[in-house]
Amino acid sequence: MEYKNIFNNKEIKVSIIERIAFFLRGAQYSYKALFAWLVPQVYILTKIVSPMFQILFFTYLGRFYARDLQSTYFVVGNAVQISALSSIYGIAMTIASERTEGTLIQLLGTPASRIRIFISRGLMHILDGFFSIAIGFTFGFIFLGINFENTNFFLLILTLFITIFSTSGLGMVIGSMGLAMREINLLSNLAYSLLLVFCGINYPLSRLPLILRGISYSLPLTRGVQAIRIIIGGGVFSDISSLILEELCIGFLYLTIGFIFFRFLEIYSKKNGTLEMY
Amino acid sequence: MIAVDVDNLVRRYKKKNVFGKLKKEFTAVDNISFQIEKGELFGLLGPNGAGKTTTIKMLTTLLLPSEGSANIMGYDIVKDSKKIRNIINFTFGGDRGLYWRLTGRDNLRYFADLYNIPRDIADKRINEILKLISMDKRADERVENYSKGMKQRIHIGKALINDPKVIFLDEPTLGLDPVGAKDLRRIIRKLLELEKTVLLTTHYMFEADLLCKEIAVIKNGKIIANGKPDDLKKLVDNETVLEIEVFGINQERINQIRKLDFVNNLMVKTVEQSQIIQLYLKETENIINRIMDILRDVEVKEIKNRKPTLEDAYIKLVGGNNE
Repeated sequence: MEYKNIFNNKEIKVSIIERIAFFLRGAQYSYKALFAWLVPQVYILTKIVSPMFQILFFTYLGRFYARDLQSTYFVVGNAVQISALSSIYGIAMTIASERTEGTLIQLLGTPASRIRIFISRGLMHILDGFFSIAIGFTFGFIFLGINFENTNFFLLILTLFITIFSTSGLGMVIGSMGLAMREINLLSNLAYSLLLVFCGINYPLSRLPLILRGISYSLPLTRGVQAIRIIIGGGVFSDISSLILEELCIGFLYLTIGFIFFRFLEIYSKKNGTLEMY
Repeated sequence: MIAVDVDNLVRRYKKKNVFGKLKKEFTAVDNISFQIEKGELFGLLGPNGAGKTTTIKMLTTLLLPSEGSANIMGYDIVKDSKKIRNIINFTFGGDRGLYWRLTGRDNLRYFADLYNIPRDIADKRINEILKLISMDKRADERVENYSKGMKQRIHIGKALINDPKVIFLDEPTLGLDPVGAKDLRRIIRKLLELEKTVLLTTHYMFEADLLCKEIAVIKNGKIIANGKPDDLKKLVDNETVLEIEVFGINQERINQIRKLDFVNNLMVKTVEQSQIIQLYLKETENIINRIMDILRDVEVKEIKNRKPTLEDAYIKLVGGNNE
């Protein structure tokens, strides 16, 4: 029979391995399909050149104004914070683009698990964020004298992933909001600036007014950066365990808020006919 | 067997002001009912804004009805939405809805994943779909390089990816050139050979005439006629259509012709430099002189009589306009 594979009307059984493959391929396809920085020149400028200037600027500024802090403090803080380019901008753009590209309606018409659709959009950006930090650290090691002699690299990698995951939760909240409004870049810029100001990237949290420290601890990244500095300074797991656990919880909290908002929008738009409207 | 059963379906849109107070209510679909037999191609025809797309969105579980009910293969569109998504697929006309940076093949692969189809089955199926939609040679190019017709074919390919029992095609030939549209109609016919149930919406009456077994005409959210294409054509059986091709006629003259007592309806089509006035006549005796009297200083290229078509029946049902 012609076209026997298209029209076989047979029930298909899906294995767990295949379900994991759906998730991983979904992550890869959505990254490839919806992420605007895929042109190599733009990627290099946005994700490598521009962040290096951020590291240089704050390191030299810090050396000049905050002589009690070492260069490592600024290099680590900024190298970790620039991963938010992936975990905030990248993820928010990937989720929100579904609507602008007109693919959201196609996506929501499929039986695919909404959690799978939602979370798979973050995976590649978490890896991408890790790559950004690796470049930042390498840059700091070669040009700015950052020292990894006492660093437990396994613990460092684990903490970096937890920190980027946690920041990705915030990216997912913003991406979901981007499904409801046009101002996705405005929101991403705001979140990026909030992280820069409140997460102890270029100054210790103790120098922030007490009232603002509450904001710091309600954001992702804050505890992660602290833990990473401790690990690079020679800290062990027991020194950072509570910090990374809290960071992980913050990440899950933001992820849950983002997913609830995503589901709310799906249900609301089905009820009100706003799926393709802003 | 009934594949699609729509019963008194209503969809209202509410516009609220910033304080949540109701500003405006608009009924897009107003108490429609129809049934589609398994393996049948059903046409839902109507002008823009008639409620065709809203109907499809409800049937594809993307929009909740305000009232009424509908079943697809026995499943309720509200209660069993997840089950329905497994057995249906759909396309909405136009360029959007595909991932332009992915290749045609990767778009299909991605949707295969979203429909939970294992890769080995999906790959075999995709190869066949690409052959069916004549895209096998261009499948590995990015969608952004495709013509409108090619994108539309990929949309149809996507609509086949889960071996659906019911397919909803919302204006699939919209904006295609005649060759592309013809090719797409070939593919749609093929779906029927493969025993798919298809709901098609279109503006093009000849297309509906060619493809559909049953037709419903929808206007302002209400179904105003339904039946087989030949049944609908009977609505204009006793009318005659006179087509007059002219150059540079003004609105005043058109209005004068419209007011003639033997004219039931009038349509004007612009074709390149000329205009074609289509007159739907109650009688044909001694009328030419009266028309020519109005057209005395207008350049007339051709006058011809023709048999009414489904399009004429449609115009009679939904009302003519001037362009």
